[in-house]
Amino acid sequence: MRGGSNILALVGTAAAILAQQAHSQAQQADDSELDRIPQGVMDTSAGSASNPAAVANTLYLEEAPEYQTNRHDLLVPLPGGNGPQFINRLFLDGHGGWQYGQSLKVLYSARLDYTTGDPGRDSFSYDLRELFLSWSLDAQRRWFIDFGRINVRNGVAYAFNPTDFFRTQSVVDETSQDPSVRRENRLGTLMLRGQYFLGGVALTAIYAPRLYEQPLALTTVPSGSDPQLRRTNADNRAELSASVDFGHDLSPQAVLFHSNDAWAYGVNMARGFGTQTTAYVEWSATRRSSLVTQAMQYGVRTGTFGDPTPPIPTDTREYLDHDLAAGVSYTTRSNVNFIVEYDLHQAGLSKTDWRHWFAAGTAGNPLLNGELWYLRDYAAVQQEPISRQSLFLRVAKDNWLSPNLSASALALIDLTGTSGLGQAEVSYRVSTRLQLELMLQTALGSRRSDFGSLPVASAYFFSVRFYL
Amino acid sequence: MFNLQLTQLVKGCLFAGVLAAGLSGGPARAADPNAQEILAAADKVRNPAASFKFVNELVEYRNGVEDGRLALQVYSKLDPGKEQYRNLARYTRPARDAGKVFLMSGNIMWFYDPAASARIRISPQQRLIGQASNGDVLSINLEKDYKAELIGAEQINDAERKPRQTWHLNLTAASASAVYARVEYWVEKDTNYPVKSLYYSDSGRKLKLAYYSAFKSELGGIRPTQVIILDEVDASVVTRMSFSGYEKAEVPENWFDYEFLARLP
Repeated sequence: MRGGSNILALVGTAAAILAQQAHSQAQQADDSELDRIPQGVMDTSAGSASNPAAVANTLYLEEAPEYQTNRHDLLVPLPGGNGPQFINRLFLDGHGGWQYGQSLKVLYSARLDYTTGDPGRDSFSYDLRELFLSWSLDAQRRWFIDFGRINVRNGVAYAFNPTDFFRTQSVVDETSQDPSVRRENRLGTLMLRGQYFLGGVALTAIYAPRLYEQPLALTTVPSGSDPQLRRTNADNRAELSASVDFGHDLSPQAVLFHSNDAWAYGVNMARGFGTQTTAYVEWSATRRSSLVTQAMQYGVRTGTFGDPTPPIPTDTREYLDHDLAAGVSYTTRSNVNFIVEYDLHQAGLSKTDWRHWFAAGTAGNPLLNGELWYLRDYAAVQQEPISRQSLFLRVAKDNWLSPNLSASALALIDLTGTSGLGQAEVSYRVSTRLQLELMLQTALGSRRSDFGSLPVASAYFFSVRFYL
Repeated sequence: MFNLQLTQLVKGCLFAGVLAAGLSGGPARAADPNAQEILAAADKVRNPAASFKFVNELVEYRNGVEDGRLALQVYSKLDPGKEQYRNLARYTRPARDAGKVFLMSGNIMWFYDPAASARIRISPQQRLIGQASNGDVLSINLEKDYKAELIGAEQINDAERKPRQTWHLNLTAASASAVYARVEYWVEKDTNYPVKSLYYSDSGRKLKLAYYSAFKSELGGIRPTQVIILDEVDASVVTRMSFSGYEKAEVPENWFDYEFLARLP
């Protein structure tokens, strides 16, 4: 029995030692994790910060040289020849505002730009994108009135927003083809806006007055200090919109828009599926003529052309036309985001229209060529796809290869003629204030295609951005 | 005699085993408290009731050197029907992100960028806060998103290397809005203070380890005002989250309309 007790004591002691060792090892592993916490990270003053200001101001200085390689064998030559190869931009960009008490805010967004090498614009220019007064009428913040130059942007799609009716004539920088970048630099419209929120419902009414009889001609280079209200306020425009939360992640927005005696209406909606996928759809309809007819009518209205006869055959009658954008965004567990979007612009150019465009352009009539390129410029300023059907693809990844490196690539594919524009971009955050960016664009396709017929074959951008 | 010795041997081994289990974290006993209740109690320590606002400042360190800093003004409101928080967060730092806002209500997320006046529907997987996930920086009741199981009692060191007697819980995702597939969670026995949590991916890979510290009196309770997050994928990365400026705040229902993001005070 004594021997048995000894064995028992021995086994018990051994088990206790083993358990103690296991616990000790676990404790050591625990402490080795704690060893990873750098000196000084434990902040004893945590919890002492005060609430930040309600309106933030962001200001940055950016130097952005751009180099382009041009095509010299265009089937439809560009009037005036190809553009410059080297352009340099230096700009000061800012947005933010000031708050007065609990109910008044003044908000602004502007850019001061110094460009060299681009004959298409003044060296110095100042774009006042937004400047408006925002008044909250009640303590619950249900009623708002805004007045001034406001950038109103409806829609949930990524590349083309059929319900974004104030998009036309607004973009002032065409450098990037990434819609998220292009949206940042567009002009607001002088307007009066009222907005009402009631748990789950948001109603918005907008009136933007006509300030000029004649809109800005596409061929006119405004002076650098021109606020360009002729671009944004050449028509009386009004919009009513309502977004309603029906629960179950369904909160569509319906929009009714009126301009130039024509009504347009549309709906947009986005919904999530699980934790990684969102899908969206955006549709609008309006009674209008083809893009070709609209462009020529605009040319006549602005005095560019004396005769609205289009350079290619087109049906000049008005029809109920539809615009549609439908897409899916998917993010992997490793945080790579993919977007696929289909865009339909019924007033845009069909395959037959493109055939006519190239046939007219190769007829050897320089005057006609001017009109043909005018059609394309018009589509660009309207922020609409020039072709009827297109596909947008985008992939983006933050913290790629290096912690502060972000990369994205996108493709705009014209489905009417199988050509496309590709763009790859990497940006590196050197510090919280300094950011470097490199971007490559290339237009691919046959000489008789949308992107293959563009004068710029590829473009390279580099930028250094410093936040002040 | 042999039988007695064998019985004593078995009892001795069982005792040693229990002792070992007690020291290293063993199976839960029938008298142990309910794991889901421990989780709910820890949620009450982390999150004030009703609606409130606070400032969350995140500092990211790489190899011990500060690499980035951002701050968010967060508004949180408990959804009485779902017992889960809905959150609105506005970046106040750094300058490049200041003014951006995001809304998170369960799996519904919207992002607003004032530079583009654009509202974008995003998925919870789209990370907006560097290495920290969206769920890390907002108020979330874990009890509503996870099923808790008690692993056992365990003594562990907290962030300041002080020993703490804890309940060791295993949490598995139980709702579509759960950010992580699995979480190991250590909650102090007497106080229900969260001490440590270890987060796993769907594949079972360790993602991050978090230590809760700097407990202070805020909005009627003692709460952690600092969380140190150790990245388990990239061992050079450590993130410190500091919570401050707690205030009761009225957050009307209309603030959770995605159209309101541009209006957030």
